[in-house]
Amino acid sequence: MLTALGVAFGICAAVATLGITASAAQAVNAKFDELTATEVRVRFPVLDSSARVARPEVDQRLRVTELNGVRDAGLVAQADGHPAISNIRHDDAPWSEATVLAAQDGGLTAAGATMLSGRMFDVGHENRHDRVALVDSVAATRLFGEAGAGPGAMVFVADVPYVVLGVYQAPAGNAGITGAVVLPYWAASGQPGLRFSVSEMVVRTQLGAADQVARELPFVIAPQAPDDLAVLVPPDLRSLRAGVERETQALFLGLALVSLVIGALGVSNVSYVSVLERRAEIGLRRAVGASRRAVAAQFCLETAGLGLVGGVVGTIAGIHVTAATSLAKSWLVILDPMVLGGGPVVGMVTGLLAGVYPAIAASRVQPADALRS
Amino acid sequence: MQLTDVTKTFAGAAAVSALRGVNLEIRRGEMTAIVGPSGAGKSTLLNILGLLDVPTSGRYLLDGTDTSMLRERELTSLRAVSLGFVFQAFHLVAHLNCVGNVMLPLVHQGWPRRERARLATDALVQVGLGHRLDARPATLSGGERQRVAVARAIVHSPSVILCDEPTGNLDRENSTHVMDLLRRLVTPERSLIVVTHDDTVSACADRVVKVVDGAVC
Ligand SMILES: Nc1ncnc2c1ncn2[C@@H]1O[C@H](COP(=O)(O)OP(=O)(O)O)[C@@H](O)[C@H]1O
Ligand SMILES: [Mg+2]
Repeated sequence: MLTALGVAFGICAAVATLGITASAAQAVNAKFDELTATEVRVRFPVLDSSARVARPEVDQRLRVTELNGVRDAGLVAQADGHPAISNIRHDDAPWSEATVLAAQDGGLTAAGATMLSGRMFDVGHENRHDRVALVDSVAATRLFGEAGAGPGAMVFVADVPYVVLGVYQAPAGNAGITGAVVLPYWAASGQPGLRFSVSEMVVRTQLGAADQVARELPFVIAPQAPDDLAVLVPPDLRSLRAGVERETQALFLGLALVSLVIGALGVSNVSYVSVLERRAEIGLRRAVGASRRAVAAQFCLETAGLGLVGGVVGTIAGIHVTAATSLAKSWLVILDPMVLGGGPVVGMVTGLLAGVYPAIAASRVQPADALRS
Repeated sequence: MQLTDVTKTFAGAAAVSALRGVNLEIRRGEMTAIVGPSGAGKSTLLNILGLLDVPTSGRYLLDGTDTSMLRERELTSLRAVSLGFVFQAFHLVAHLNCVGNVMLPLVHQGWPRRERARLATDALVQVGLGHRLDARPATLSGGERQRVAVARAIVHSPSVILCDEPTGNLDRENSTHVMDLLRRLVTPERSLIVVTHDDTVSACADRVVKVVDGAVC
């Protein structure tokens, strides 16, 4: 019985590893799901490659927002290089690490920006070609000394003044709009000192709609040349989950395997010792008609039984470990039925394999030798 | 049963010639005692007669069949059907009760479970242990254990019963009891072969075969 413990430990480790990583991956996903799983970006070819026919046009946004599952969308163009930026006082050296964007209001919202102070562009700003700007909270701190400060102030972009309309907060992990100064999209068609050659349509979808929307987008945006567009879909949920699981799993499953092998060796060894101890019984069984195969089967069956017990105990223990860990971290407990059913089966197979050597030894017992008193 | 020029040599660091050219015929329905000094080859001879071991050379005909032509699997099933064994050390399986032990020869012959239990019970009643059916061997006296072994040797109605010093571990009273039992098992269809040191055992045999130094004389 004690020897089944090794198998039990191995199975427990395996079940707990699979359970905990699945639960952890689920929890990790829950955090990133909302933002990463619903963002689709469509990148236009660089503007000066004249052979390409897909170009950003302001009315594309309307067609995209009409798609089922799209919450927000808009064009975002990025200025080449790092234009000089400064505040009204020109008291510091110009700041030249910021990104300058030209964006439709929907594009900024779709990218996950939330207003900290002031307000978002509206259609009027676009139509009148107003010289207004939004700044990210990082940029606001740099330019005006405080994250929320700025609305009403002036910001110079490549020596052209813009009135700051509002300060937004970029979502964590979005490098695209973090630390940026954003002009209305009309500016993308050309401003002194600014050239915008990279453009994207940023689309925020409803949860679960990303794949579908991503498939339809190129045809809606540029029906004449859908292949010109590069669609960036969110990392597939399943592959994300698998990615998180794989890292931790590899290590712990390795450990589980090691303890399973140790357990199997233990079972094998004890079973072999029992073959030696029970030589007389084996000889007697052979004398009264048990074939070699029947004797071998008896020992394999015994170790398989031990392995099964170990597998069941290990699975139950693994479930408890998973549940305890998940509870402590307030994760949802995720246990694959395959793992639950597989634990006992793997235990049994391990036992069976562990029994092969002792079974062969048992089948080699010669009755005449074994029965000599 | 007929042995012709049977020899048995045990290989090893120093090869041992346990049997040197044994010729022996044992007729059905007789009780044969095999006697001789220790190390003479009695057990080796009995093992060959009982198909537990094979001769190094020579011929062994069992009921007209040349056993050297049989494969191991066939020897095993021939043992299971026609032979019964009683050993000096009883060789009962400790974790089985009396019925379980007596059933063993039936297990590998595909008898239905209920039939096995019935035959085993009958055999135990026949050796006078009808009241100890569920007892474990460890709780029995030496004499009782050997009677369980006798029950196991007869449960499948074999035509030959082979006993290697069946009374060697028993006191006089139990020896007498067990020998009476064995003697009564001999019928016109069934032979009994007993290896023994005990003169009272050989005294009740139909025929005594003396083995000295690996040869019958
Ligand atoms: N398996 C074996 N390997 C080597 N020698 C053996 C083996 N079995 C028996 N012998 C030898 O063969 C001889 C006869 O043994 P055995 O038949 O047991 O004698 P008995 O039963 O008459 O006392 C002895 O010398 C014994 O040591
Ligand atoms: Mg002997």
